[in-house]
Amino acid sequence: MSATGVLIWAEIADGAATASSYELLGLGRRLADDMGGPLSAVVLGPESAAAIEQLISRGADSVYVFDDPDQSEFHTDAALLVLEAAADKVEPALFLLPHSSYGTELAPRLAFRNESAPAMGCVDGRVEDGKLLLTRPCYGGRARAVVSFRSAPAIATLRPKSQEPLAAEPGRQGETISLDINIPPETIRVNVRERRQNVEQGVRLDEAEIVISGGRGLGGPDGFKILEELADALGGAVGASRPACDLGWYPQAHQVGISGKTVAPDLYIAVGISGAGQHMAGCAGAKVLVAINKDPDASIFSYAHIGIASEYQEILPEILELIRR
Amino acid sequence: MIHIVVCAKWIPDPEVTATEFKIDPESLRRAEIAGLALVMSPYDEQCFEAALRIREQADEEVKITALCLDTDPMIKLFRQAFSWDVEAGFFLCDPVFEDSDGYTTSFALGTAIQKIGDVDLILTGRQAADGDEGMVGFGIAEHLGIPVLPCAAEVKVQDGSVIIERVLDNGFETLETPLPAVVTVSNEIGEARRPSMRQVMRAARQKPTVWSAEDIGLDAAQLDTSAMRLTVEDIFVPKVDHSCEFITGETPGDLAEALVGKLRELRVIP
Ligand SMILES: Cc1cc2nc3c(=O)[nH]c(=O)nc-3n(C[C@H](O)[C@H](O)[C@H](O)COP(=O)(O)OP(=O)(O)OC[C@H]3O[C@@H](n4cnc5c(N)ncnc54)[C@H](O)[C@@H]3O)c2cc1C
Repeated sequence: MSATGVLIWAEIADGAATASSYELLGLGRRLADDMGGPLSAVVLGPESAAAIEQLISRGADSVYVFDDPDQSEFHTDAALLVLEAAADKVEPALFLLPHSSYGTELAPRLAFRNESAPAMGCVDGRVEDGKLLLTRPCYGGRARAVVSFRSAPAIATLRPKSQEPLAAEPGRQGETISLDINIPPETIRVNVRERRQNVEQGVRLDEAEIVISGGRGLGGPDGFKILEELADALGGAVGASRPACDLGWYPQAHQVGISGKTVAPDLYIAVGISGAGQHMAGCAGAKVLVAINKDPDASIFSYAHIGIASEYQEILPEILELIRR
Repeated sequence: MIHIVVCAKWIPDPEVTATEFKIDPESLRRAEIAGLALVMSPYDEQCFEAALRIREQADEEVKITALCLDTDPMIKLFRQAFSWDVEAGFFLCDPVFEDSDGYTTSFALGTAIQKIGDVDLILTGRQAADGDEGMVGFGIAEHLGIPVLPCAAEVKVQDGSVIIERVLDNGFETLETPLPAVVTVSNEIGEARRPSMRQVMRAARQKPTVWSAEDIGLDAAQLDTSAMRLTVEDIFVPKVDHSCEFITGETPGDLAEALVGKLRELRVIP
């Protein structure tokens, strides 16, 4: 009998499953139901206990937990053994990981150890005549490829903000299974000398309901000042295109796009951004997309809902004044 | 001596505009568009930059080898690599690579690296700028059974170890591992330097060693479509199902007022 279940890796941050874990459960539940199999999750680390209940209430049938006090520091080399062990136990048809820093490392390593290849950065999936099909952007976000797998389990990462998380269902029942895995010290070959988190001020970019992003068209770092004022006035966050970050005009942590953050706010205002596929891959999920660009033929206008073809310097101060009024 | 292998790929210019971009429905590949430039994948250029910085800073000899896998003669790619004064170039050229996926590509590259021999550090881009998959560096590392440090904003070699600054979703980490190892390089490294005219001229005279699949001891059956792990069922350009409503007005004040009014009507701003 071939496998029918889905396994997800739920990443933990600050004692809770990350928002993208719930998206993984959302897609995982749908695909597992279509294949007629169970949905399982695997979690690692000392804070995982609190997350288990959340995962079950949002769709997991069983949660595999690895919580070894000797392994409290996160190492991808160790995590890989745990994920391998979980996959061996569950034997899923699909193992879905988040398209996060660690997910994008672990998915390919896991796949190659299994003599398979992963589908990276997927945004959707479906089952057609019993065949699992996943969709992923390619060519810098300009195209979508639909892929199927020739070896089992299928291993894939899911881009954030691509799926609806399931609503929590309090009282939903599930099983918790503890994973007892020996991690030989020599498995950990990479020494983590230091880990530093960016300090975030104000609203987090990936959680903001309003994002105002600036590109090379701002002409320099000063252009971002008015974007910040506008974001403050609206309770939103500031994003940037890659050139704006590469040029040092705005911190790299605010980069939106295929090699930066993915956002899906209610409102995205792109200022001085031309609309390259690589940028749009990070913001095309916005409910309302506004573009302000002096070039009426800029690509951004083929994605935008509302456009203003004008120099930003003239228009933004007027908008700010109206908002503040 | 530190021996660095840089894996590089030649791709259609990733900065092509959306209107110039098309998929050929027959072959399910990117349609060839006349006059469209081919370039080195930008992350791979940044790998060379990282290697050159290691060579400049090291107090021992550093040898840089360029490695590329493709079906067509990659004359331009190697000309660019040699113009950075790399010491050697290996070109895996075989029609069997026509349909390679991340699995078969890293398998062939890993096998070639074993044949090149005595390699300390392997640099790949964090992803290729056409497929955007980001798996080959990991595939090479797993194939060779050596550690991998991903997404480097900075790479240093010190006392037989490699140390990187890894870009994380929300921060950085400093990672260290003994050589040999694979490092995947991210754009935070900064742009690759431009070679001088003299370097470019000299590079035109240098040629890479060309190897077929057989030369590295692999059979077609290990590399052809039957060996691929992923099947591309379809590729399409997603359609945007709405058109842009342009706001017009006499003065910037009028435009701003119309926009703010519209956004309030849509209830996306307070
Ligand atoms: C592998 C790879 C990954 C990438 N990843 C990303 C990514 O994650 N995110 C990303 O953003 N990019 C990414 N890029 C780069 C991407 O291809 C584009 O080059 C980039 O998005 C363009 O940035 P931009 O729109 O700010 O600049 P430009 O393309 O230079 O556009 C500037 C725009 O500003 C307009 N303008 C100029 N002056 C004014 C003014 N006074 N008022 C109003 N408008 C004005 C111009 O008309 C123009 O349209 C990636 C590229 C590669 C190859």
